[in-house]
Amino acid sequence: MSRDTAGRRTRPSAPRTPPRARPAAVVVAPVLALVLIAVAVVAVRDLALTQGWAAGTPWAPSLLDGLDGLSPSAGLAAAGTLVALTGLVLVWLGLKPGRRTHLRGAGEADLWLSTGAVAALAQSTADRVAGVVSADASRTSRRRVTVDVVTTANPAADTHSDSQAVTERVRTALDADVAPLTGASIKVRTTEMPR
Amino acid sequence: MTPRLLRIDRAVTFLAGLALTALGLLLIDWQYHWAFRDYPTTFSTDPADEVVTADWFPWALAVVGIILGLLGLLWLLAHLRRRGPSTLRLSASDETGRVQADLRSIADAAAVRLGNLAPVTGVKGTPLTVGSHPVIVLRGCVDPAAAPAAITDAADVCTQDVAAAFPDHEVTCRILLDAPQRSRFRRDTRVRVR
Repeated sequence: MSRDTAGRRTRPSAPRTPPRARPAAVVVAPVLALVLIAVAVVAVRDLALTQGWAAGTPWAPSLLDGLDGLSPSAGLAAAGTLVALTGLVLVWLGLKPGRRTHLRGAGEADLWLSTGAVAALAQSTADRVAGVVSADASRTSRRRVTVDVVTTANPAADTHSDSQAVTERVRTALDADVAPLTGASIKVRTTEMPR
Repeated sequence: MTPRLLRIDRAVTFLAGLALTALGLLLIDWQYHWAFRDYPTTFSTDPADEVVTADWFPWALAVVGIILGLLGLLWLLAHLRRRGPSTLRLSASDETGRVQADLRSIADAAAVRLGNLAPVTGVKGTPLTVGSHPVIVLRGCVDPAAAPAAITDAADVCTQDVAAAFPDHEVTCRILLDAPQRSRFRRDTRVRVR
């Protein structure tokens, strides 16, 4: 640990680049690399055939012969549409960065939690609150978690206020323990179960 | 995979996409003449025939093909390489000798330390490069029963440990926590007593 000018201990500057999943282009890249290798194989094969090292017909001149005399048609336009659409997909994949996978954790440490981890902590925290029969958390978006809480309905008492009190306790517990960890928004939904 | 390789993947994918899009639009426009009208009625390869039938063409094609093939092979193999540095030369190195840190061992030790301190499971340590900076990445799954404060406290301790090992901030520590892994066939055996 180093010290600043006042002699206090300072923490190292953590890299602020958020963790990301691999971009989709990573899947396309090996396919494109294989296409390049295939071009090499065809080129060497054609060389071997034209030099008489092997028997067969070279593919490059045959390909040109096949293209010669091509004229516009609806079929070719349809093929062009497919090619253009494939190209647009590749352009989109090339531009699309990897999605952010984690939320920044509280504190000075370079701590990151996935939304699923926040949901698991939220579920466990809600489950420990008195009056909760069961709790289930799910991620609704990258920064939102919804906790479904089941409480019991007491026919003798004012069930609505009873359930409201449990919901409030759950919300307080989540706001105190889990929400400050990443700043993720946690929504609580309550369902009453007849006793 | 290095950030540089990811940039290459994205750039080549983008360029290949642009080329395919242009080719596809050209084929469509040849039929419907939406953008241009000066197209030949038939496609002729006569100008290329002379080149393709020349003696030197197969050799030139083979040379270009082999270069492209080697680039493709290197590109493909680059995807199999590990992402981060395994060792780091420290600033204490001078003309009398070299001081190197084995980052993999440090990452393993830091992972064990985090596993002992924090309510997390399956922690693995890996040295990676994040934004051209060597980082020990500790990745594990949170124990749902954990108190969130225990996680942040343990993260602080691990960060301080790595910072103490590398006072010049040559290496930092990053902690990634995921949801606990659920078994498909796991049954919840808890019973709530009222």
